Amino acid sequence: MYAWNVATRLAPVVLALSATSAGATTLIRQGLDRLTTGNETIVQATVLDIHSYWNADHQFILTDVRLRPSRILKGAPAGDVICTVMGGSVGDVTTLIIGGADLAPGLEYMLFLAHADLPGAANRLTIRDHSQGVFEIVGGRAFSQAASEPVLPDEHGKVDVPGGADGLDLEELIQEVRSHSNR
Amino acid sequence: MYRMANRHVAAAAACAGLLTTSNAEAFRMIYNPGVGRTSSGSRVLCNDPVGFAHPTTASVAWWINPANQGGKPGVATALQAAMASWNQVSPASYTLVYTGTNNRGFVTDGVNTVMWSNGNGCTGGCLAITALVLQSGQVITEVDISFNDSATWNTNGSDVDVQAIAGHEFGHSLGIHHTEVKKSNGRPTMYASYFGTAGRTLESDDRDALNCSFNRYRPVEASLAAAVGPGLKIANGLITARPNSRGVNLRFPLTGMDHVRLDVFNVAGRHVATLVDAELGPGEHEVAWDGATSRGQVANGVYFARLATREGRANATVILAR
Repeated sequence: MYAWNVATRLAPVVLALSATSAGATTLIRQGLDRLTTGNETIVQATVLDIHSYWNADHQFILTDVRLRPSRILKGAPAGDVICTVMGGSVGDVTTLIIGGADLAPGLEYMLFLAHADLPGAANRLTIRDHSQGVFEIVGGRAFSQAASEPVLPDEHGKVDVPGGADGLDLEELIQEVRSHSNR
Repeated sequence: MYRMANRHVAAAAACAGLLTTSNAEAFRMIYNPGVGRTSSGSRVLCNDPVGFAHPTTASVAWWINPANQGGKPGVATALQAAMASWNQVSPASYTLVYTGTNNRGFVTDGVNTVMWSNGNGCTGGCLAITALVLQSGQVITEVDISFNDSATWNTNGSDVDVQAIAGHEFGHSLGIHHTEVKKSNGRPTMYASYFGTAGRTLESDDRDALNCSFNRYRPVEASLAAAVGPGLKIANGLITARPNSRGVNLRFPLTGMDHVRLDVFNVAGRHVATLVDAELGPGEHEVAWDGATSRGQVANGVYFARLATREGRANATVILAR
């Protein structure tokens, strides 16, 4: 995947793109405000299991991720949540999406979810912001999966993903998300 | 806690690496962690025991879908220039070949396609996204690249530059992940973000990555050529392989009556099956193969189909995933 780089001469183009984005995959820096307002469901959840399969046309591998929320910060999912991401493994075949989300059963995440069309699967709940929509929760802190990749500055000129490499205190993250969600 | 521990170990290892290695050794390869998690492909060193994604053929055919901005004047030329930058790396002998246009999408159909779209998981600030299809052994069997059609793409050197970004995505298609180099000048093409037309030119870090892959995973053409005889021309464009739940459909056109022989070989270049050995008339022909051979069914995996007529020969990579 190729993201926009820090280049102020591109700022007008970038902002225009950002404004027209439906919130899907983006590597323009997404602050918590944008992540919160741009996604319809935000949950702290543990991955129970994942299931990869060919889509109905047998033309693309998708993966359903079953989540058990421990906290719901936005939206009103009832019970376990299933989100779908592009790529996965079926038998000996694997499709890798370079720059996509990386989720494993048994681990806990803060996930920013929204509906979008995936190849051969319309209107799926998915992680439209890819690595920026995933925060791994470890030891009371939340680490953005986008922390290791350069991103383009947002409209405020910021290039560091929320928390950076040090992560965010989980409770602070929750409070901030809730404050943006209530605006 | 396991993940956190790993993060610290990785960080420590990275710091140690910076102290003992140069930027020229900062390239990383795409590792498929396999079944059991979703993944975007981990970053590993070229000499990592786990190995990494790699092609098995030196010649790789590419198509362009001319829909949207894929049909802009100069785009095909820019894409070919991006391919050429990788083709010129030596001693690696990979050849990315522009084969023509098609109307394929972001699907697993055995055809490597570059396209411009407003979907495919690449909208907003994402400029281009690459999907790698791997078989067992981390063999790359297909790659599709989707450019974000919402951006304004140019071939005259102004942003956003088709050639620069295509060069980066073609690097992914060869199994190369984002480099660890973060310097502001002389950035490798495999730097993670767009930095203008400077990305058109490969740096030593990019070339070293491809040469390292080449040295670890020599392409299969040598063994395949030995199996099928001299004069083999790899031209995947004349035959396409579309996988399905029962096997694969091989499709090829004939311009007139011709004798056709369609054989299947495994990745070691050994003959597996003869699917057609007959005179056929003009038009589109489709042959279904479910993995059956004279010795029973073969395992799922990567195979090569070779079409031979009086007019010439063509090959296609076949994914058997029943």
